[in-house]
Amino acid sequence: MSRLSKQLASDAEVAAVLVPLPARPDELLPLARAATHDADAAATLVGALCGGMLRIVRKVLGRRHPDVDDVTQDAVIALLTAIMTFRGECSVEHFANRIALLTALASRRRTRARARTVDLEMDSFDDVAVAAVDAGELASPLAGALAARRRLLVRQLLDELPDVIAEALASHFILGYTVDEIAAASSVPANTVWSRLRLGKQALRKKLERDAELAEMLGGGEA
Amino acid sequence: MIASGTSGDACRGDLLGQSRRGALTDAGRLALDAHLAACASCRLSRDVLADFDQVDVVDIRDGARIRALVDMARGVPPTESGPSKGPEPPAMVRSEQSSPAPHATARGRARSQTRLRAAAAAALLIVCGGSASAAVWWWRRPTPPAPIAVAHRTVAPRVDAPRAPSRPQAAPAAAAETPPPAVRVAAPAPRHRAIARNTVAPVEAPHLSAGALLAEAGRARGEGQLDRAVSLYRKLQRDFPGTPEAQVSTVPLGRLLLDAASPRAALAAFDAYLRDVPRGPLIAEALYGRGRALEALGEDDEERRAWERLVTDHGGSAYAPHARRRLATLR
Repeated sequence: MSRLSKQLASDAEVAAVLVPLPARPDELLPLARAATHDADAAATLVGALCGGMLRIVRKVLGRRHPDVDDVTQDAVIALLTAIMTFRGECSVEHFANRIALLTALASRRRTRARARTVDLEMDSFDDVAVAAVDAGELASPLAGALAARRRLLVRQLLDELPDVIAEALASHFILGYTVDEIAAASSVPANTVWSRLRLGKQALRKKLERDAELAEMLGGGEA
Repeated sequence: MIASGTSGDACRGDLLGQSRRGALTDAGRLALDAHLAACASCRLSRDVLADFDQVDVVDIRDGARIRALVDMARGVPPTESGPSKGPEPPAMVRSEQSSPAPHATARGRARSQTRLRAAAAAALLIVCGGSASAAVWWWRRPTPPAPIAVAHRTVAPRVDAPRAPSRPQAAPAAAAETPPPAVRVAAPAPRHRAIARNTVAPVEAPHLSAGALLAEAGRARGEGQLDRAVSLYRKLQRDFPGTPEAQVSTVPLGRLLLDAASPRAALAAFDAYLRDVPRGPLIAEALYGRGRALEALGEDDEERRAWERLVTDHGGSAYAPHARRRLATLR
């Protein structure tokens, strides 16, 4: 009860400084409607959305994962199929991004399940830290290594968590969505999303705390 | 202060969300700073979001990838998955949800009457069209002696009546021996049983476009129905030879064959792609598959040449590290 009161007070304080974003019409909605019966409209819609979908797949699988193209293609096909059932409860872009996210998560789980027969080291594909350090984009190799390690742990956790919690966590961390945006995209109440996110974050915090390699990096570097 | 100095599990992260969209006022930014100092949950979100922002990069070949996806979308008319499939969410999405596509089911109920009628009409057309095309195929095929006897013996009595008037004109000599098309679908002759076994959806598949076949094969592959995926890829290549979809499909087909311990067939598929689409977008993938197929076949010299080509021509691809490792082993 006290936590609820605290939350309500917190919400009120946050609301006081938040400026509500003006609601704007979804510019892609007419295109999405047309895409259900017009191949050119479908192609235009895919052109508008697949860049973002590709980046999401890359975030989930790893930047250089060899399945990125295949999974993105699967996601685009899923979008073209699912757009017929789209009711406009969220923006078309969020709808497409969610499909890309779910497709990529499903692909990760399938690959994990077949890991014994796959000779590729799945988690070695995300070598962005090394590349970024080489290019001078990161302040230090340690910062890059820490980021890469955290990404790896988050991805592992997404494979381990129940589907709905993994989806909420990935929507938050990978898509950058707020509770309300996740709720709209997945058609579940905001409180449910919030609860799933809370559980996911707790699990992540535990995983980060228990990871010896991360602890070693933090122990040997800056706080 | 906005939130108490706890782990922050009760925080909804709205300030952080608005900050990432650049929608915070000066007061909002100050509030966020204060909030982050006290809220471990938002700090964790901020750090992990920043970690993933690092991989949110555009690749130099993304333009080509997007063009390929747009072309694919143009070749996959959404209406083909049309009325009957409309209310269902995509399989890969459905498999991820415990409560599958709520809007899909509601919408499906609302349209069920219209869709049922449309589905019935489509099914009728498919059956008629399938029967007609099967008949054409049956009449034109070379007549294999042994299987015909089996098929004729088992099915002839059931089908003579409805099909008899139209059949003899096209192939009078074969009419007495050949069973009518409707029967063939139900009970294929032995020579074709292997093909029929692979074709899990024989009623729908004959009427899919190249793009839809490619999509269906990809979906089957994603769902782990590997035999069906192989069958659909082969059908795509057989029915739409030379199309971009058929050309592209040789690479995933090769991978499936490789995984199914058929390296020679896989090698043929990869070689076909390298020969037919020498500047295609999947060259690196085809070379990688070719190398693995040759590795499985124990042809070291050829394998070495494949890896050398991959490293030389696609040194920046995801497969180059594997190629270098194999080259080091082979040397």
